[in-house]
Amino acid sequence: MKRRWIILLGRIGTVFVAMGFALILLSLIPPVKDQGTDFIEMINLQPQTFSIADPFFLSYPLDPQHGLSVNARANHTVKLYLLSVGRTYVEEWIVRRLSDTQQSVSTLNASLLEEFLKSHQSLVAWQEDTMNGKVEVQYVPTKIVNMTLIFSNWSVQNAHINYSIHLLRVIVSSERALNPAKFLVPLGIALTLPWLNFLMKRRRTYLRIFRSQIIQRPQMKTYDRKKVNLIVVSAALVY
Amino acid sequence: MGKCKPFLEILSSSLHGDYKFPILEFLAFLFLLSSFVFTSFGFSSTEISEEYFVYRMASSLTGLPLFIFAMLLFKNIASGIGNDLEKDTMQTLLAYPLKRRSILTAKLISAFAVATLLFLGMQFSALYLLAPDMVTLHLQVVLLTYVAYMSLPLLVASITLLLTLIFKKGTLASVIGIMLFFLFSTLSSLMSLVAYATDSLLPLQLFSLLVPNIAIDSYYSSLQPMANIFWRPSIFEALLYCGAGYCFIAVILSLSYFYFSRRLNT
Repeated sequence: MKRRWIILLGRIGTVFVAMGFALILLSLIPPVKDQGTDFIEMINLQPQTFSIADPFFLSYPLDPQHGLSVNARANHTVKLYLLSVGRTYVEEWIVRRLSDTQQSVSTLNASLLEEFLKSHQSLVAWQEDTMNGKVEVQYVPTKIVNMTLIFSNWSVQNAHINYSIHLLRVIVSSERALNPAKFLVPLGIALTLPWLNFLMKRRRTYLRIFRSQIIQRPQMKTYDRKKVNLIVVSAALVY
Repeated sequence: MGKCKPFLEILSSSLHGDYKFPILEFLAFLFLLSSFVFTSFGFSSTEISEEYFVYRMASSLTGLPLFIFAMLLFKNIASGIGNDLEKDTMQTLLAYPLKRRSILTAKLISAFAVATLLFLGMQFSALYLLAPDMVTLHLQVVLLTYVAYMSLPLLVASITLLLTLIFKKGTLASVIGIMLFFLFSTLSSLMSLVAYATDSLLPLQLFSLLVPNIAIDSYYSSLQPMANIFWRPSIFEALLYCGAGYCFIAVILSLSYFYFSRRLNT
């Protein structure tokens, strides 16, 4: 009974290891840049204002195999937000809010964005500051979703931002593939070790019996040790 | 407890025969890898129901991996049950203090259940890793897609099993199984054309009783607002077709059990 459990757990372990290797292999495949989706722009942001990036491909939704790569450079720290909602929704909300407060549409005040983010916290897919003036990010959604990229200048100085965006094609994002592989491979190895130990023991027993049988044969007595070992090893390999 | 040990004995020897190292591991590796590689979302739009995209994502995985799964079932039947009958190993198994149906159950767990578990386990893991939000939210769509698409391989494998028991030759039965699988797959496409040509839903509906993925595909395709779909079944109808498909499988498996228990002379 114990032997059967060792074999069963060992085989489950080897399946886990195989799954882990498949995921590691997938994580090594780099994302491919989608041809014709390069968008480069330079914007000047006044203090305490924000801007919505407008690349044409963001009017289509992204899916778990199409991500976004953003590369931004600024003269000082600005904040980037990636929202999992279409640009139209954000704009409509802003227009509605501005008409309520009698403000002009041309002043996209950062406090307005703050207000939007406070009331739509679940829509923030990702946010980051430009550290040392630059930021690089790759984002792959987990469902079919429209995305909006927003730059916000919270400081009291003007911000000059150079940024480029392009679409990425991925089989699976490497982070998503590596995370389960990290525990599947060690768990698989842990389950496999008793089975391997069992196999080694069985092979050693088999070799000992096989060797003793060969040496006991009278015609084999003339053979030297090396030849016997050679036969035993070949037989073991065939087995 | 007394009958449990011989049952486990037969099950473990069947598992050992069907999934020799490293067949199981290699299949797990390929099923998982192919699940990621073959997934397709196609053209995305937030105006179309997310259910449709989940269906399309799950059904995109039922091409080559499903074919390999069907081949695995045929191989298990041919090499497991077929070889036992050809080489008279079955007589040794029948000497165990077990009912004949228990022996067949042990063989089928190894041939069908483990293969299905492996296939579904790898595909579900891949789908969950790829789009966790979509799969969690629409788990019923993923399940229904797999239930519908796995009906054909399971039906043909059941027929192959019955033929193996009748002919007592696994190779011949598995060749017939492969041909039937090919025939049914071709007919699925042909029936749509026949339905269009005759302007009648009857051929599609009749064939959906055997291959319910046609009904499920028509149902989910009709969720697209601008879709030009010939047949728009309701979800209840689609579920009925799935049920009918599995009833056929149950009938053929029951016949196999009956034949093995009462009629089979080894």
